Amino acid sequence: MDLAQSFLGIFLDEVEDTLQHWESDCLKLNKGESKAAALQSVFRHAHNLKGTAKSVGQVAFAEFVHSAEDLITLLMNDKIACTPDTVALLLECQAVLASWGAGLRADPQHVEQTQALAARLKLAASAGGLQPLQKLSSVTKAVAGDIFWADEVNTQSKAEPGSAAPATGEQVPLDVVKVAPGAVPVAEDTLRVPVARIDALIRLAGELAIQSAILTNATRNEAPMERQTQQAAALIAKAVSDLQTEALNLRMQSVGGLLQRMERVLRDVSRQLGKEIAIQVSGSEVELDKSVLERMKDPLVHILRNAVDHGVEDKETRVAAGKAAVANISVSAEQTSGSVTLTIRDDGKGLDKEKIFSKAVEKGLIDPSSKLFDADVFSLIFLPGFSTADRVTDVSGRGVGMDVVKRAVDEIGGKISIESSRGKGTTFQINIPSSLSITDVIIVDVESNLYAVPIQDIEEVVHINSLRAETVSGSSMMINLRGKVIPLKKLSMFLSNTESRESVESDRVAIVARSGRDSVALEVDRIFGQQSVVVRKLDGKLQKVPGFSGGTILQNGEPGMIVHLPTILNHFAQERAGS
Amino acid sequence: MNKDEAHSQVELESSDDHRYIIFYLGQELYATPLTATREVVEVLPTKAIPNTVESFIGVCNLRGQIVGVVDLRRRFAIPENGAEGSGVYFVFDVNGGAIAAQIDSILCVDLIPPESLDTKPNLVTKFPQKYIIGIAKYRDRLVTVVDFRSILSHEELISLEIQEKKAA
Repeated sequence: MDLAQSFLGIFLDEVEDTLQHWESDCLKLNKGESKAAALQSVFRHAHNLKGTAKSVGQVAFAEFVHSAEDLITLLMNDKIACTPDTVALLLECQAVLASWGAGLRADPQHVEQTQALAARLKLAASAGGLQPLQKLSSVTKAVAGDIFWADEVNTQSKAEPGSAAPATGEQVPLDVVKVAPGAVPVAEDTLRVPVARIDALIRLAGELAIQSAILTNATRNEAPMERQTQQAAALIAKAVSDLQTEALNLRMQSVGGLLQRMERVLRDVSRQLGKEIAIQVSGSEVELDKSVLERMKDPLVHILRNAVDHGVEDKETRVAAGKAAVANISVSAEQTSGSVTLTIRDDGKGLDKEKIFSKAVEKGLIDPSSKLFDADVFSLIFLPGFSTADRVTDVSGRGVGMDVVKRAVDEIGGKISIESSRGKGTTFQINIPSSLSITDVIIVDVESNLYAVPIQDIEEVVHINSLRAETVSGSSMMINLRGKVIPLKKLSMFLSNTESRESVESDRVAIVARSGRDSVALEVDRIFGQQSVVVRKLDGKLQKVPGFSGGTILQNGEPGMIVHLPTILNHFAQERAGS
Repeated sequence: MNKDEAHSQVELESSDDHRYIIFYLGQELYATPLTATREVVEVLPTKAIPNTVESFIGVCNLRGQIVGVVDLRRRFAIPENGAEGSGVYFVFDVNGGAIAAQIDSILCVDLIPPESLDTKPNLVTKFPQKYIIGIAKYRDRLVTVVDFRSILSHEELISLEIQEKKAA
């Protein structure tokens, strides 16, 4: 219900916005300025409005817009003349729709009385003699199911101008918008496209990028070729890479909707618990891949509920502690290169280290004698079956949740961290890749096999020779990395195809990865440098092979496996525990 | 043997289509239903995957799709026929994705009418009995008709060592 209402809100915002354009276009028509462009613009606004109205279930609204759209189409095709009377009629429609929108804000069931005006529209349209939009409406109906809004497709630069219009099958002059002097750029025009279509496009662009990389590789290494050919190959590579970026961008959606939903949840929960909380939201314009966005929804809402329920104290406690009576919670999204950081910060009582520790001991999750850093204590709450809530409430504290949050973040290759100080508040920070399909990797050679290791899992790359490597207690190698002694493992111990052999190379390298508090250096035979790869999901059986998160096609056209370092570190840790 | 009975047995894959791919594994002739095979491609470069069984050659790049390849000869201990370097991949769509099988060479694609297919052969083969469709006479030779697609869809790729570790 909440969601439907928030959709309606978005729709009504769009109605207001669109009607403003509608009005200005009609005024232009009245003045006789760039008639074709103005008509086409009105048409597009009407068409989009109809689509949105349908998607939020405002069928009557959509139907009325549809009848206006009919008239505009006839005008566009010169089936009827564009007289001041018809323009006045369009303006009247605009006014009625504006009043309808205002009515809906007050009452979601509101239906404006439009019969008289609709009849006049029909009458005016009948002068043109046709019902040209039958086809279009059926197209709109067919586009059902998994649909999202390709946000802010700039009609002038990205999409075909008048991209909505060709669906009518009518001849519409496509470049009028560009040519017409004084035409207002339609910046926020949108197009509804099924996700499957965009995914197909991304898949194709990905394949193209791979083949193009192979080609580029060949032009570098093989016999010298004509300058022109070389240039063409370079240009193709550039265009393909742009194409891929653009295709991937189609899946990007702003986090605005998610943040809005969180704001709403916070209002509801705080009211329910009788807590007074001010919320600050920032970074609505940050974009995330649609699938990432969807997967982050529940985890974020869960963290927020926890913050309201457990994090923030009630008014009396706050005042007694000398804090402002109204609590603050901020939710922000921030774009960094290739990743997005989501932060939820409250100024509540902070996490109780001792309580978490003793709870974890009580549940047998840790050894009572263990000595842990703050961050490690906090991350105990991500363990399955951990909950410190004294009472089980409706809002949170069912003992499920934080482990689910952690898992959801892990699944998309993100990281979650907690900072908290007693009496001052808690900050959850989630760092997630902004797009799932492309990832930056380092290519490493292990026993003459190339693997891709995601950069996000790597802390640093070190030359072992320059560091002191020592054998400790007989078998395990340790290296001294800037005063910190960390174990050195051969990655080939996990990724082994053949009998392991002694490394005699003088230039030994290792990648350093972190698991929890411990860093581990993993020796590889060679490092080939960094590249961006398109991640392919592995098919059924291959998925089960341990140590890999996916596959990719390397620049030379060979398949390459994407290594999942956390699994491998886990394997080594278990080995250590077992020995 | 009764003709109807033969029919009902072959129904495993397709009731009416009696076309089979007839091919060599080592020196022996085998056949597998044509319609169960997605495509046949020439041998592609493969990349070995650690922690998998020995008969699993690795993965290949099949037009951008990463597909695992099983060497049927190694899998069923069929002696190689000496013609090194030759070979063909059969690609099957199994539940959850594609998988390829390397065989030696294809003889032809042909009809094997139900009447020349003995679906209850009294023989012991290297293959699990349930995947044997039958024995057929084809141009004076005996052909073992095997449902390779089903075999591959039940194939375990992860090495025993790792499996045991997981179980432990």
